[in-house]
Amino acid sequence: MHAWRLTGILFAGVLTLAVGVLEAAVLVPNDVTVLIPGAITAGVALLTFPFALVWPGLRYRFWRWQILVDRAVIERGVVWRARSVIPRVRIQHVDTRTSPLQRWLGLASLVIYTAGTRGADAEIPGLAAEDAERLREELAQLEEPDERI
Amino acid sequence: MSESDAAADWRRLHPLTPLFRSLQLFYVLVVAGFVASFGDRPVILLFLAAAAIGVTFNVLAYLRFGYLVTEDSLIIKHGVLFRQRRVIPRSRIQNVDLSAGVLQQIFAVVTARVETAGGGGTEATLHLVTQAEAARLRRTLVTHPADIPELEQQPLAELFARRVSLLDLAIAGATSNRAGVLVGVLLGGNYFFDFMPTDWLLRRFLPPELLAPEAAVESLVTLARHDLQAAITGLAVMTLLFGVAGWALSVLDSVVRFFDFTLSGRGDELRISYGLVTRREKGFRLQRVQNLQIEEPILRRWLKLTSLRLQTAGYGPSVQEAGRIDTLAPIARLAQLPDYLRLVCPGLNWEAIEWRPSHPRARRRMFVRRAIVVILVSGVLAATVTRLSLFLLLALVPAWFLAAAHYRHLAHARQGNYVLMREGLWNRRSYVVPIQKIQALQLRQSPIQRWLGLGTLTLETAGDPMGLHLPRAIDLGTSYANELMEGLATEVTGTGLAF
Repeated sequence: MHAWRLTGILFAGVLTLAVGVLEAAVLVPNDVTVLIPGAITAGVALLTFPFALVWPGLRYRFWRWQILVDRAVIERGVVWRARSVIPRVRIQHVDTRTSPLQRWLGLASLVIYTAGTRGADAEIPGLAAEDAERLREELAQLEEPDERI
Repeated sequence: MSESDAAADWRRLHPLTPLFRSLQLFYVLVVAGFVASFGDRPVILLFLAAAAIGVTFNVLAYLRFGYLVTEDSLIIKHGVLFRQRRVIPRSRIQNVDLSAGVLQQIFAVVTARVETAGGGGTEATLHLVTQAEAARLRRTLVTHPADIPELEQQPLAELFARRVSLLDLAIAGATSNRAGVLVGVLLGGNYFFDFMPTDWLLRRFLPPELLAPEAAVESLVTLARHDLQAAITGLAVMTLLFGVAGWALSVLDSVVRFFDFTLSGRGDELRISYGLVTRREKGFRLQRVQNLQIEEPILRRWLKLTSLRLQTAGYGPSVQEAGRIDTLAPIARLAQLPDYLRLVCPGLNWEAIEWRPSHPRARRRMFVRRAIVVILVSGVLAATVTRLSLFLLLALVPAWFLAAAHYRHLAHARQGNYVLMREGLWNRRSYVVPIQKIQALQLRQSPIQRWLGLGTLTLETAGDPMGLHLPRAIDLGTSYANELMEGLATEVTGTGLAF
C-alpha cells in the first residue's frame, strides 16, 4: 500500500493545542512571582506561538511513511533527520495509541514494535483512527506465529 | 497445597538463606540506625522491631519456598502472604547463571538465576543453594539441546576452553581507556575530599611559600598568578601522580573483576566464569548472540591486542545492561581473533574482510565537529579573559590531523551473512552483526551531515534497549547509504521470520 495521508492540519492542531496548554501552565506561576508579568508572558507567547504554528507544519511535512510489501519505511525529523526501514518479517506487534486529545480529534498513532526498536523510533502519528485500525490489521496479517525459543 | 505436593520431591533452599537475607537487611538497618542514632529511644526501639519483623519474614519466606524439578519443567512455590506457584517449562530455560559474593564463597553457596528466552527477565532466583545443587540444576535444566530443532542446522563448534592469565588481565586493565576516566574521577574526588597526598608531593617540588594551605588544585591556580614555571611543574607532577594512580586502579579493577576468567563451550553453548570478590558464572547460547563487539582502545591497537564482547538477547528489561553484554575475552591477541570469530560467527573469514571506508567528506565533518568546539572555546575565552586566547585557534591544525586519523577508523564491510561496522578513534569498536539478527535499520542525518550529503547508518538488534552500543556506519554518502540500507532490508526479509 502506498499512502501518504493528509492529516497535517489536524496534526498541527493537536500540537498547537498541546503547546498552548503547556504555555498556560508556564504563565500562571509567572504572573504570581514576576514584577512585570506582562513582559514575560508576552515574550513567551511571542516565542512559542510562531513556533507552535510553524513547527507542527514542518514536523508533519518531514514525517512520511510508507508501507511496502516487505518493509515499513518511516522518515522523520526537521533538523536531525532519520529514516527507518523495518523489514516486515521483523515486526513483532503493532499498537494503536490515542491520547484524549487525539480521540477528540478522531486521530490515532500507530506504533510498530520489533525485538530491537525502542518504541518511539517506529511511530506514525496523526492517522485518522479508522486508518490506523486498518493499517494495524494489515501489518498484523503478515505476522505468523514465529517460532521463538 | 494438594496431596501430590507432599509426595513430590520438593526441595528447599540452603538453610543459610534466611541468615544471608537478614544480613542484607542488616546493612540497611545499620545505615538507618546511624541516621536515627540522634533520635530518642522509641525510634531505636522502632528499628529493632522492624528488624525483628524482617528476620521473621525471611525465615517464613525460607520455609515457604520450595522448588521441584520435574520431567519437563521447574516448579517453584513461594510467598508468605500471597502464595504463588510458577511453572517454567524446561524448553524455555536458556541457562542458569550463578554468582557468589565473598561470604557466599566462604560458605560454598551460590545464587542461581534461571534465565528464560521469553523476555521476562530472570524468571526465577534461587537465592542460596549449595554449589553442588547449582551444578545439578544446571545439568538437569539446561543441557538438552535435542528439543530445539533449529540447533541442528548450526555447525557445532568443537569443545573450546580458554583461560586468561593474571598478567594478561593486568595488561587488559593497563590498556583499557578506563585509566583516563579514573583520572578524572580521582581529580574530582580529590578536590572535594583531599584523599591523595597531593599537598605533600607539591611541597617537595615547590617552594613552600608558594603553597597555599587550601586544597592543592586551588593553590595551583593562585600559584599560576605568581610563578608560571612553578605552576607548570606542579601541574605536571600532579598529572603524573593521578595518571599513575588511575592506571593502577584500572589494572586492579580489571584483575579483580575478571580474575580467573575462563571460557568454555561445547556445541552451541558457551560458558564464562570470572571474578575475584564476586564470582560469576554465566552461560549463553550462541544462537542468542545479537552482535559481537571487538574493542581496540588505542593502547591495545599498538600492542596488537583486543577484547571481545557479546551482546545477547532474551533477557528482559529488568536485567541491567551488564547482564546483556557479556565479555567473551577481556583480552586477546589479535592473532587469536580468528579463533574466537570461528566460534561465535561461523562462516566469517576475518582475514578476507574487505573494509570499505566511509565517504571522504567524513573527514571534513570530523574536522568541523572539532573545529566548532575549538572556535567556541577560544572565542568565549577571548571575549571574557584575554585576547591571547585567540592563539588557541592554532589547535585547529592538530584538529585536522585528528579528523583525518578518525576518518581512517571509520569503515564497514559485508561478508557472507554478516555486516561489519567500525568506528572510534581513541576507542575503536568493530561490530559483527549477523544479518539474520537485524531488527530495523535507520539512517540519521544531523544538519552538518545533510550539508555534506552524509548519513549514519545504524543497525538495531534485540537486547539493547538503551541504544548504547549500536553498530553504526558513520558518514556514508547519502545515496550509497540508502542503497545499502534497502539492500540489507531485502536480505533481512530473505532470512524469513526469525528472532
